[in-house]
Amino acid sequence: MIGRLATIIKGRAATALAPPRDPSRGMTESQRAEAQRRRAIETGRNRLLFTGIMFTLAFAVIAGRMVDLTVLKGGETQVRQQARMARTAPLEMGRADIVDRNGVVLATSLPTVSLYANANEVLDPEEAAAKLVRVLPDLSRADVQARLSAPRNFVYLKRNLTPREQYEVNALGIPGLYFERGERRIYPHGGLFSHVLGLTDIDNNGIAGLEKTFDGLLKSGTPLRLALDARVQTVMRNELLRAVETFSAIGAIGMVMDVHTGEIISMVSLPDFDPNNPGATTAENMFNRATLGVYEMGSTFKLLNTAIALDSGKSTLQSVYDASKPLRVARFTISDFHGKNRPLTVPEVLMHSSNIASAKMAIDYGTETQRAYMGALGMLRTAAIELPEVGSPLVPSPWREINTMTISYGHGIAVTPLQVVTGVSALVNGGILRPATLVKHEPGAEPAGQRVLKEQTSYQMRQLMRLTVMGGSGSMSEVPGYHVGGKTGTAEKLGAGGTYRRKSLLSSFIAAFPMHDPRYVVLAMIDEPQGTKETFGYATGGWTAAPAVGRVISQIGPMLGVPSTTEDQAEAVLPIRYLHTLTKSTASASTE
Amino acid sequence: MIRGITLLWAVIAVVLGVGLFMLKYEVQEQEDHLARLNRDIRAHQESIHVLRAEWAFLNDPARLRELSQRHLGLKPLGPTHMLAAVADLPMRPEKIPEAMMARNESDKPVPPPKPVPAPLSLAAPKPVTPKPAPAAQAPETRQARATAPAPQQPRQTQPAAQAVAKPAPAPRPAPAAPPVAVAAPARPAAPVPQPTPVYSPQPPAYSAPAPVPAPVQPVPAGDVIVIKSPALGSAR
Repeated sequence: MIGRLATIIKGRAATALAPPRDPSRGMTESQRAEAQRRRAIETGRNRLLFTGIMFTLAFAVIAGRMVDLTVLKGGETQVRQQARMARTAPLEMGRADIVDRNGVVLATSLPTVSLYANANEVLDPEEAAAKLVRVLPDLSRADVQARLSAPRNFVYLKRNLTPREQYEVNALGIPGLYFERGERRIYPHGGLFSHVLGLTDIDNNGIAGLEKTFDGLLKSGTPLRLALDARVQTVMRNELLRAVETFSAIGAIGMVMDVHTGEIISMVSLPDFDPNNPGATTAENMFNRATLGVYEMGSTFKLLNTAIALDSGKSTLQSVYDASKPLRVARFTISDFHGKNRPLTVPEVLMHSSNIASAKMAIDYGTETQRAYMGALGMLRTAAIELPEVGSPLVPSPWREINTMTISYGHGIAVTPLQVVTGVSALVNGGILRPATLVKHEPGAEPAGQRVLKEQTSYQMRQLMRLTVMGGSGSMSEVPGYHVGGKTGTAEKLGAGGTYRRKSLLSSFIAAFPMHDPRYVVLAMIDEPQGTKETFGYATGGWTAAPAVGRVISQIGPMLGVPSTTEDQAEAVLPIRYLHTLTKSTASASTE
Repeated sequence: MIRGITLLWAVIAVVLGVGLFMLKYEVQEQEDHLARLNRDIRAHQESIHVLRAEWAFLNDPARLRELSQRHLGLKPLGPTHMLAAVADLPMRPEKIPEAMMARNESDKPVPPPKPVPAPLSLAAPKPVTPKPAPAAQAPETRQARATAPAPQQPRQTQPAAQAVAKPAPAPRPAPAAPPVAVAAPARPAAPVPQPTPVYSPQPPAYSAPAPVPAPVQPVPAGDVIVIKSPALGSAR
């Protein structure tokens, strides 16, 4: 074909090159007819030539493109893009998972189907409702019929059908019923992480807890890895439940913090709720006591008080404070719960939890020092953590001397348990305050933190906390294998009239382990425990919270890979020169 | 000539047409296949996603602990087991069998299932192959120490029997049942030594159906388990 075209083109070229002749001059009739014929042929040739050129061009383009595609691979990128489109897009749920520090799924979205109807297409609402109710017994027939009768294009009949229900509804074959694919938030561990994770609403928007804080992130499909450990959380919750049951308490709080990173390994607040069934919970259960509740912490604050006294240089471990008689200030009287009624050294003040001596220590270093240190330890500002439910501390204003004295033993200032855990972590980790976090740090990306205490003070505090467990009020938290240090606290809760109620206590114990090089701080608080026969009627921190902390530590220590404390390590935090103070007090677990 | 060329072209066109037609269908089929695969992958991904949630649900630590207590008889690590250095490991105790047996007995509420018969056949021939008397004389060998109560020291037999006996009575059913089951494979060994005086010191141990003597039979059982333990194997 191309060959033929070539001949045509050649022929035409020859014609075109011939000299032009005037066809009309001096011609006979026959010549004129001849010329006419020629013109006609020429016109035909021209047209043929034009068409031929067009064809040639078209074929040239096609040939060129074929060469391009096959020889030059010009279209390769485009082809490859198309190939990529043919691959399966990875499954992406509308809301990403939340996992614990070891990758255990704590919250995930599962695909479900919802049943809706285009009411205008339903032929016989009455019959349809009757059939539907037979398959989905939890629907009310009258309600379904009302919805199907309304002239609307879209009415939800039931959300989150099981596959079986979907099959059965489908089998009914009612026109006008449709399924809508959706997803539902599932919390495989039920109430274990309820307060931390929070909730989503029916449209999968986060409305509480981390679900709310990280709503945008989760919706963008990025999974969230928390610092929490499901195993530790389980242990903590079990032990708190046990304590609540044993002491007929109304609630409890438990936390474990990594002192070197500020990561919260466990955070439990009881009572809790099942986030899979948010309808069944109450506001009381939704309340996160660990971060939202502010409490007068009681004697656990003596740790901070002692640390301030030692760090400011106003007291040494040898300083003696007279606790032989109650301290009267204006119309207040500060007395000890189980007083020793004698002068006490600083270690003894902590071991026997003397309010009188603590107040005297506070007077020694003064109001301004106290305020500065409390501020540095994070007690005066709202804790920074990734939860929307965070309580602000209640701080005295004006800060008088009497406040200084009561704050020394944990009254007159109300803080969240989270703040105490964070502060005590700084006390034992060498004096560096790191903000608490629920999100796992990448290894090596731990925050630098802020130095708030001297390293020497931190070391002394570790010694004192160890002493308190060995021979003081915290002896029931002792764990064979680990050297635990801690401090009890028993605060009377403020009643409606603004007076302290002797019988409603907030008993707590805060501990760190292993004491020669603390890695974790553990807090347990029991809300309104009642004494039992086994505790001789005591409901104080040393009898209720301390044993719970001891049991928690003995279980989570091996889980977290904490090696047993050796004798040498134990020696390091317990210089012999304090041992003489233990002689009389070891037997009696004195409380505050 | 012209006709031949035209014919050739026609044939080529038909062949190409048919080829293109088939190719098109094949491509379509492949695309269907791809779509089907993609759908399956999608479905599997969804299943995996759901199963991951279920895995998390079933791995609830509290549930695992309960299951492990019910079925494994293992205990969680305690703080005293967390040794920081190899140097902290205690030395191997001199008398492992007793220690192991004692632990078996106290830790395992459930008697060891049925590894008994097989090992027994291993242990049983021992006394059989040599003459009855040598069997009795073998007390110094490891097996004998725990197995065949050395005839010379009937005293020792008693504690051993009791120590191992305990796990057996645990399955409370009529005392006859478990011993019978265990005894059956042991029988071959028993008849042989009968004439010897080995068993005479304790006739009730054999004849009486009382619960205490019956478990004497399991002695080999307990022993066999100990023999199988790696600790003993290396002590050989």
